[in-house]
Amino acid sequence: MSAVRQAREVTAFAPLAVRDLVHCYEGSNVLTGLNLTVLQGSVLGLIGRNGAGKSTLIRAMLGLLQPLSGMASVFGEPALKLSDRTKERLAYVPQQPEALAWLTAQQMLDYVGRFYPRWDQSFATKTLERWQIQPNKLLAKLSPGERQRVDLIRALASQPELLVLDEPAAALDPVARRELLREIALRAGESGTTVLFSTHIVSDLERVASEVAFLHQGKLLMQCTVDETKERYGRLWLPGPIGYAAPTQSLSRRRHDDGSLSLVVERDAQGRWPEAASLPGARVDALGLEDLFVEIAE
Amino acid sequence: MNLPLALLAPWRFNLAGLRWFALGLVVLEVFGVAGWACFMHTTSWWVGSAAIAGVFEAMLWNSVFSYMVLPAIDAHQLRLPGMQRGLFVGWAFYGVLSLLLPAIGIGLWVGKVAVIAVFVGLFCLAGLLWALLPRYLGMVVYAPFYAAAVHARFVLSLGHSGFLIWALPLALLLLLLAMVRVHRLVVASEPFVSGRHGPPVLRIGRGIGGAFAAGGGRYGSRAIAARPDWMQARASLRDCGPGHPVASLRLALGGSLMPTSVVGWLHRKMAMLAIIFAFCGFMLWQILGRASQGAPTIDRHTSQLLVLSMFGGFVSASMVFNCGIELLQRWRKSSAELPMLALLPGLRSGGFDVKRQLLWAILLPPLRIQLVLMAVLLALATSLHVDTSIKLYVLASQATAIVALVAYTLLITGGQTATAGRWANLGIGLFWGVLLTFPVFVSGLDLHLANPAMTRLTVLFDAGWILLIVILAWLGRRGWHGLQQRPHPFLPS
Repeated sequence: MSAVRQAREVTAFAPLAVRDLVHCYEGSNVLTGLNLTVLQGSVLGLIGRNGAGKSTLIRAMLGLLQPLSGMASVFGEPALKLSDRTKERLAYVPQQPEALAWLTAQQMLDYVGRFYPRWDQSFATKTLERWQIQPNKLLAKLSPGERQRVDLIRALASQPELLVLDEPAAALDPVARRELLREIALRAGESGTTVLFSTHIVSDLERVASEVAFLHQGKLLMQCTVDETKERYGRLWLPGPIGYAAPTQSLSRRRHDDGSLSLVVERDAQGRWPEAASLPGARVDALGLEDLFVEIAE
Repeated sequence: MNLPLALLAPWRFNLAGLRWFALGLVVLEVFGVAGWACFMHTTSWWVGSAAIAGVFEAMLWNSVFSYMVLPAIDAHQLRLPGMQRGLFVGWAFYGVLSLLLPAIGIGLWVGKVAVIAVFVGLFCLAGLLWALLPRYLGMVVYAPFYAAAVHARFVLSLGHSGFLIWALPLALLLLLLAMVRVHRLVVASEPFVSGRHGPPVLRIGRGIGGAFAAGGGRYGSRAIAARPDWMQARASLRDCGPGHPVASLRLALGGSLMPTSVVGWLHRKMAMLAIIFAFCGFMLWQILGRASQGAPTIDRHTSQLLVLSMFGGFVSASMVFNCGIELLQRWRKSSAELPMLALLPGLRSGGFDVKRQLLWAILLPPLRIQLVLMAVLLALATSLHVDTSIKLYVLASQATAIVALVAYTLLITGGQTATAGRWANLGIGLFWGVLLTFPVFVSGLDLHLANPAMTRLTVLFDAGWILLIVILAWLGRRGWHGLQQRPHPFLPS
């Protein structure tokens, strides 16, 4: 079997894949021809500023919205027409879970649990107790953080092979956030669960993600492993007089008041920085993930 | 806000659809008033014309001018007193205009300018209050009109010299009530968090872009959270699970569809039931009073049937309204029940796809009640031997509610919430207009079965129902096509 064919098959049956995805709201583009594949067993952190299109991308990937064009698949099935078998294998927690506000936490877990053959009731009960959530309290009466935790329990108790979390830590306190990240790492490490989560908290990403995808203005600017970001990307600073030599390809470009130029650049296939980096006066600075995010997003 | 802007405010702050609706009402009002004047060759023609003007003004105030309270709330919350003042000036201007035009147009011909102005004013205030009060109280607002209509006990008819003696204080009382209500809504810290006690104007809002959208967030969790525990209807999880998609879907959709225990159901409905029964009791008492004063049996039967059909129409329309609002809230929220349902396995059963199961889940409970009501009314109409046109009127009112329920369900689940929102005001306005004005005409204008005007009027109202059914069926067809084209029904719109 050729490498190309093998790669195609891996993509075709990947837990999540989108190709040429385009979507817009009220005339403005949110996703512009986006391609992304989440491979089996990976923990992909989707990072981007507010309004970058992270939630829209996640919802399109899971068939929760109909994109203008492009294709999304989950375990090889079209996302908009998932079979029950595939639905049993995935769990999704939205950014602000608001579903079933009229049920108590216990009722909600009891109700949802009936639909999942591998539902772990003891995990649900124990975690509710551990996270100090009153099981008989209506979901509507829980705080946003408690509600998010109940939804996380709901997602984790179904023992999914694919876990999709949209800004899961947004409403959590630091302790709960740490517990969630530990749970994600545990699931990924021990059960091989594939995880996609969106965030703009870079430290969360560094803690658990094996891969990072950076979404900016509806475009995927980069997708690589977390370690790779430090090796592969850097900030090239060029003083004013040699600004003309700046490479045309860069992830961001900023001109300072003194005429100097800052660019986020990428090593080529041979691991070399762009030629301008070797000019006298030019300088390449290593970037941490957070610096890289800020440089590109600003 | 200067005067021209204040006068333009009701049109600028409303959707284009509502502006056209308002224009349509005004045109119908003018033609109706003029048509009745030409059509009825009696000395009391002006009574009918005034009633027509009143009904259309009530609809105008209910469906168009009442929504001015929304920008007024915004203006208060944004601390823009100038804008708030301007809105009230606009309101006052259109209020005066609503009274003056019919008063001059009809009253000058018969020398009863003040009578017509007060009469139309009562209708305007009733329409406005219906939008501003909780909907179960809105029914009470119409009670005086029925009292006026059923004038066997209270000699209150429009042509009577004593009309102004009771009508003017009543109008002032309703005006005071409206002002207090508007003030309370405007200054409330969270006017939209009122659950079922919320007035229709806030529950429907500015069509699709306004409180309908807000309703999902504001009425959903927050309204439930605001309710004390003893008033919560506890869900019953019996029969939920992969083998029972219809019950499972009902539980997930919540609201009036949620399976509950009997106690839970009574908790939810007690206020509404109390008002309905009080109203019907009042109406029956009026009718029986008329009977005791020697009205012909057939008229008495017709009146009784009309009261019961109003009751049936109110129950049916409430179900359509509730169901429509709840579905709109569900289908407008992208992070609530829809993603959960879209990814929940096991919702197919017995070879039926999810779309079919969903329609059963939404439509079966209200349809069952509506069909029973229709059968009961039909049986009553047959046993009371009322005129065929009356029978048709009663059946058509129920049929309209049934078609409306199906049409709105299909529109919303078919992703056409914008269309549903646009047509909601029109549908509700026309439904109430046709349902409630007919008994007023029949009783208040002394129309007896022997009177040929009564037959003409009944046929006219029957035609109104049929027109409404045709419009709703067309909307339902659009919704059905939308639903068929969707890959699954749980996509927000």
